[in-house]
Amino acid sequence: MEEQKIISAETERDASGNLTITIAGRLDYETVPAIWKQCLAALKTTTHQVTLNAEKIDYCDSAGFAFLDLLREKYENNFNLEKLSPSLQQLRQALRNQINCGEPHMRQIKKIPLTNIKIFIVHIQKNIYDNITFLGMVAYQSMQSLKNLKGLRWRDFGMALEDVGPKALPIIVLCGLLIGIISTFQSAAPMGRFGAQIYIINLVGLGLVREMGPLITAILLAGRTASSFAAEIGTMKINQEIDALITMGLSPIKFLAIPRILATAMMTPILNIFLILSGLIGCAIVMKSLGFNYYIYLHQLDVALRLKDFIGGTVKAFFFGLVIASIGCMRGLKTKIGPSAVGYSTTQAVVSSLIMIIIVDGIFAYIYYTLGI
Amino acid sequence: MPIDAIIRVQHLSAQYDDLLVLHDISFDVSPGEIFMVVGGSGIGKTTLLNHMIGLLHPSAGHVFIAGDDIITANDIERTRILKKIGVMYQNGALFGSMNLLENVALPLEELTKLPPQAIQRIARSKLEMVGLSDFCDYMPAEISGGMRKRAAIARAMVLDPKILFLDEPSSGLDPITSAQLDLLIQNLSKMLGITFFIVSHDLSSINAIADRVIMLHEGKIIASGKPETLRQDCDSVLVRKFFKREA
Repeated sequence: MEEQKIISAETERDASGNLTITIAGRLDYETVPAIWKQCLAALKTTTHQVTLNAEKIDYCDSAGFAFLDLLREKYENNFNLEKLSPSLQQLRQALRNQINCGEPHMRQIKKIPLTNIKIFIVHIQKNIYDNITFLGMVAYQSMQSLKNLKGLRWRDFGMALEDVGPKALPIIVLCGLLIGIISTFQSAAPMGRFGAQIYIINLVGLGLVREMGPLITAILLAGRTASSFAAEIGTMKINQEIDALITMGLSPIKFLAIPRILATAMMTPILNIFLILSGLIGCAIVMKSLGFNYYIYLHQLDVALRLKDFIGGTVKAFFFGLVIASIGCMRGLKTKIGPSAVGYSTTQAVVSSLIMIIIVDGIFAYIYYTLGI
Repeated sequence: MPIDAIIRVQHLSAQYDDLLVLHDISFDVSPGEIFMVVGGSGIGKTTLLNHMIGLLHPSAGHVFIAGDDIITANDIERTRILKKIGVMYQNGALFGSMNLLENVALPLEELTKLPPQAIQRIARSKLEMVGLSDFCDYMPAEISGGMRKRAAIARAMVLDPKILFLDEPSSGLDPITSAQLDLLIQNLSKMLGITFFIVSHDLSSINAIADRVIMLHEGKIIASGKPETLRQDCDSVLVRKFFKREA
């Protein structure tokens, strides 16, 4: 049976204003909060001597002793603790022997604005340097792997192919279909005002093949694949698996990053094709509902699209895949210690991938414009 | 149950699917005792501990903690029983997003209605007890493995439990840190009367601090007694070899 928690506190004030508190029963985690409130209320108006009669306290734990110590601290010389039983005095002494009184030393972190700016700049510099180093190592190791295909970890490569490709296919097809349907519907009204609804096919077809297809595929993979790579490799880093690879004399980039990067670069153009096809199907469905049969649709598409549009989009998708996987792996390998580190790396992987996709897309837009593609 | 037993395990059997891990285990632990469970790796020591703290449910048997059976207890009773114990897990299991002071203060904040200044004071005093007063604002990731274990002990005893369960407290620690931890356990046992139930296979710790030891093998207790007695006089060759560290 559990011991009963009985506690009572009586306060008595003498003629000269001195206060005597008599506590009876157990002074522990459960009873201290109530006693605390009661005593604080009684002590609010007291500036005189405070005496705590502890004769009837039959048990005291850390909370009880903390209560007594805080009272002593608050009233200093005006506080008297009387008649604490020898066994409790002994326990109190035992607790005190274990601890040093006084404030613990805390780290002093000086925050000077200029120092912070300097740290920030150094951090950015280091980040850029690390990223360039990493990309250089990836490029070197990729070339080595392509030269010596036997050295590539084919099993990991196959697993990465499956993870990046077939497992992502449903969401790619669904998004493609919806984008095809939505963009066709969005174009129908404005184009209809000019009697140019037939050109929706040109608009959506070209848009999907040249820009929307690779971009949407890349954005989906940034959310799905880059984060997955960063989390997976980051967890390995936390579990010291990366350290184990290094101490075994193995390159983490070659073992972990290269199979994933090559698989993603290879799979992204294929997923891009699926997204474009499903988008075009979505467009065809809406066009049919607007009164254009499939023959007209296919003929118009044939007129609108050129092979170089398709090649341009595919090449772009390949580079998007390369960037997404590289960033995912790099963020994973750069994971720091602590439980939030993997989450941070994952977020960083997605954010960096999205930014890099836009930058790479801009570069390709300029190159294609210059080349007349 | 005799009044001198603070923990009583009766006919405890446990299994994972068809694999019988513990078979008819019975023993008592006296108040204030440093009681250790030893045995080879994978023999079921941690499984026994997990059953005793209610994390796992045995296939048979009872575990009485200060008179209450944790196995048959309902949720409310279990919560009450768990307040009597503190547990230190093998890797410390400190919350990585909180500093040491916050880790230690957490049970007080969640389970008591103490005012903040009292909570801070108690949490600091517990960290001081384990020699970590200078590291209150450090994150678990910033301190060593031994410090993490000591902080985990501080957290385990913040509610002044009568019993502390420690899972492999000295594993992965250097001999000096391990000896410091042993000393801490002895001091807490002597001065505060805390009962320790420790799972370990660290011979130096066992010899240094254990009042009594049971040795598990193939799911059964094959020996019990003081470490020096088992080392010298036990009938079982396996036990003697274990305590003499022989192949």
